[in-house]
Amino acid sequence: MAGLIDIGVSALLANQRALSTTSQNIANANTEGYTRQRTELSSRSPQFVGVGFLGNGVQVANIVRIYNQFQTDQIRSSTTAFNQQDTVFRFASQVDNILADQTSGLQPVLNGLFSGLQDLSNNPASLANRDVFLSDANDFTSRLQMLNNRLNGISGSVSTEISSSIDEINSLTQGIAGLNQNIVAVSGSGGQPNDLLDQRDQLVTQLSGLVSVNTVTQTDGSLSVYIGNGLAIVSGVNSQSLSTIQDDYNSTRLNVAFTYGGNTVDISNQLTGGKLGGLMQFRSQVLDDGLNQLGRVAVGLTSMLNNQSQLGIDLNGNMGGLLFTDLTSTQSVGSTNNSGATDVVYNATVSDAGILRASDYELSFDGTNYSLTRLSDSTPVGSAASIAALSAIVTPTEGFNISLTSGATVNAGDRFLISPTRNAAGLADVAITDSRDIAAAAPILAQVSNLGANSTASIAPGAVSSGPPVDPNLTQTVTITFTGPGTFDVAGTGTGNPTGVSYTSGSDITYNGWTTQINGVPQVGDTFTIQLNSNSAGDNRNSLLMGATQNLNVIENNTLTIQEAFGRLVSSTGAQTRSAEFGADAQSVLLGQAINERQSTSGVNLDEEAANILRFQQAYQASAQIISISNSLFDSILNALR
Amino acid sequence: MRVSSFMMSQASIDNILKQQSDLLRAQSQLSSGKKILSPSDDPVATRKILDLNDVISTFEQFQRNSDTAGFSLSLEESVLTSATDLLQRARELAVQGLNDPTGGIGRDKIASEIRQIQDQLLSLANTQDSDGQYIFGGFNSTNIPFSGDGAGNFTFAGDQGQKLLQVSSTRQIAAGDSGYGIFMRLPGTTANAFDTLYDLATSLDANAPTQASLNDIDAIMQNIQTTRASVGARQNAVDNQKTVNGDVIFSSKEILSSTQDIDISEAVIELNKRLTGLQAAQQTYTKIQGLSLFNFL
Repeated sequence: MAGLIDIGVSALLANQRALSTTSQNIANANTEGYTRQRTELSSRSPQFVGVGFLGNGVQVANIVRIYNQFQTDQIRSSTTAFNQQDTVFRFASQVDNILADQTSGLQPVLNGLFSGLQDLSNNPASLANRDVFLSDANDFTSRLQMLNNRLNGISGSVSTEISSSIDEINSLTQGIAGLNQNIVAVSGSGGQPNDLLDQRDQLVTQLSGLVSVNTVTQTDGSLSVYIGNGLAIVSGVNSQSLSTIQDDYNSTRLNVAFTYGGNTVDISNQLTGGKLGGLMQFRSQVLDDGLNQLGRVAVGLTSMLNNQSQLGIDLNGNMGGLLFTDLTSTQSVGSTNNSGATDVVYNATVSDAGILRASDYELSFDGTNYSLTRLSDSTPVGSAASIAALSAIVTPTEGFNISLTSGATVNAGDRFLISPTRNAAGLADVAITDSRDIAAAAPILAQVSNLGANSTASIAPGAVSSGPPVDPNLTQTVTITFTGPGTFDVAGTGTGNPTGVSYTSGSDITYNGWTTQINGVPQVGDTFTIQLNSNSAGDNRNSLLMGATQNLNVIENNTLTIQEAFGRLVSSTGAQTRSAEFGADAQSVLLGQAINERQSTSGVNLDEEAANILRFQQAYQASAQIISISNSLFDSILNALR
Repeated sequence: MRVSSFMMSQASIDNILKQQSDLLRAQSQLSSGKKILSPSDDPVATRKILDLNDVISTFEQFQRNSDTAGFSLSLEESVLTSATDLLQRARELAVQGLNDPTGGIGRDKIASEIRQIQDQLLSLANTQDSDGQYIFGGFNSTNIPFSGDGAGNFTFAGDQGQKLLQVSSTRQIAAGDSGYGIFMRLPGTTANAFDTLYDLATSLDANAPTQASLNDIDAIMQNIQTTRASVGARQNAVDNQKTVNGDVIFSSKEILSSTQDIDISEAVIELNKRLTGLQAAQQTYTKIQGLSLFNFL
């Protein structure tokens, strides 16, 4: 009878436990990261009673998680990949929309600039047309500035997100270290702290959404977490904080730093995956490229129009100056880690915008040689013992030359960032304020001075053929006088006054940096004059040449027009955005599958739990009946003896 | 496969979210009228749209340039027509003067009318356009080009420049002519148009008109005629170019529209499909969530 009560009590307790576990499952049906638990029962050791073994009831053997490590790992790797792609997509689509917007992008103002230039050519004497063109030019430069500012604004929000991601990572690693401590403390007791393990798994999964991590479970039950090239951010009960560090070339740009052995090291290049990996990828591949390509459009257009402007003459009769602020010269930035003098600055001057690349460059000194590396594709450009020799190597392929501006002491290991295009769009500006200063006319005019009555000769108006800078004798008056049907004399400062020059109809006649052609059959005594084009309000020859730059291939190895170069920037950003979007979509599907796999094994099904409640309730009620029956059996014995 | 309660509800929620996102897209496409809402939707088509916008903007500018050239040329044409009429009258008067047997009083009157014609021709040669630019001054369009000192000396203060306008990416057309070639430099003679008329009037006053002055008037008319033919040819060229440019603009706009604009009926059908899909997803969710074994406990 005592055995009956024992069995009844053991069953009562076991089923109560089972009911508790079921209740815990129901309670946590919606808890993220919760793994359903099961009470494992076993029969107690039997007792030998001579004729055989008599059962001794039931006991709770264990309370286990229905868990598969592989499924959890799948979720982590998909979370890492999804967050990286999604972050790139989120930021890249901002860039994409800013650049390509049909009203606030660059295209409308770029078209406006060229239209304004042609309207100016249609009526160069009109101050209204001149003013409109000047305002078109200002619209263009202020739009470049605005786009540059917005891209830099995005760069700022990237830094902000890097900073907040690091805070999140630090709080997660502290949480993991704290759980490690609790888990190690209770693991000795034999059972598994299921809920603590769930919590730790959940924190590691959240961490893997921020950065790619590797984990190793130690024999004491603690979990070590590594990032990058094996940097331990959680080791046993200790966590190691990450911090932000200013980029050594750009103080507004934040990178990720790791401190060990008292040294703080920039580990940004080691980080992949997750939100942080996505931020790094976006910044180096999409944003930097976008800024450099936009800057290259700015450098290309302004230097081209500036060159042409300096070959013209304005409404006041002065030689044309710069139409836009000169963007061809940039100064290097020294790394904050440099040990040499901090006053060392190199200057990069664009020599050929047509072959200029949308890239930053790093200049480094190893104690003997200066080396230049193109950062967009990490390609070494050249190496030489002096800056002048390096510049000679760099200029033909990269389109700029390098010289020392100030300072002298460079130490081995010093590095400098050279950015011929990065900041150009932000610095774009119109250099003139008075529309009379627009050099729409050509500085010289070739005209008939005197023709014989039956002469059929004519002269082309002439064009500037060299510069900038223009020939110092460009506007000197030069006279061409025919001394025979096939020969002429030339007189004027700078020409050397040649005589008896042979004449061919239509062939170029070039002196003092201009070129013209005489056509037809001249007579002896015919004279032509090439001189300063004074009173040239109606002359549009130079503005026509400025307008013609619209159709010239002047960017990307002279293969793209300005407008095409901008179109390429939009489409390449669009393609990067699209690829990130596709990647994020694909990873989202994989992540969904991984979550479903895990849910299928470890998730709570309420119907199943309801059935279990009924099952355990019935067993519990039956156990109570055993006790009740054992009680009544005992009563019947007592009654029989009474 | 074992299914958890979370999977059941999450699948329905995911479905609703996806339907809503598709619905939003269909709705945005319909309300904006554009197929491509963001460049990443179709980077290739985005590039094409940018290129087409460039082409349209450029060719619309060429049309404006052509219009400007057309206006200038028709102004020049009408001035030259008036000049021809004036010279025709001068020629008739010269013939009359040469044939006038009475001499004296008659030739006086003819001479004074010729002087008027000479003044009118001078004023035509100094014609200004609507912007106040002298159309025959060459590049020097802001200073009066032709003037006479009243003693038969006429000077040209303009230059021989000729303004070209860009009417297509490869074609420039002269929008005018310098007065030098029209009035000052006459083939076969060293006299200019105004000298000729002045000398004719002087010779009539002196009662000694010559056949040579008649030939000179013919030379002026011939010269203007040559210029008018050239102006007419350029007007034709401008018209032809405008037709070509117009065709480019029209076809570019057509391609642009087919690249970026939605087909309204397709978009409406798409929107309705999405609405139906969303309703179905919502109904599925409420049906499935209503099912629970606990309802029967």
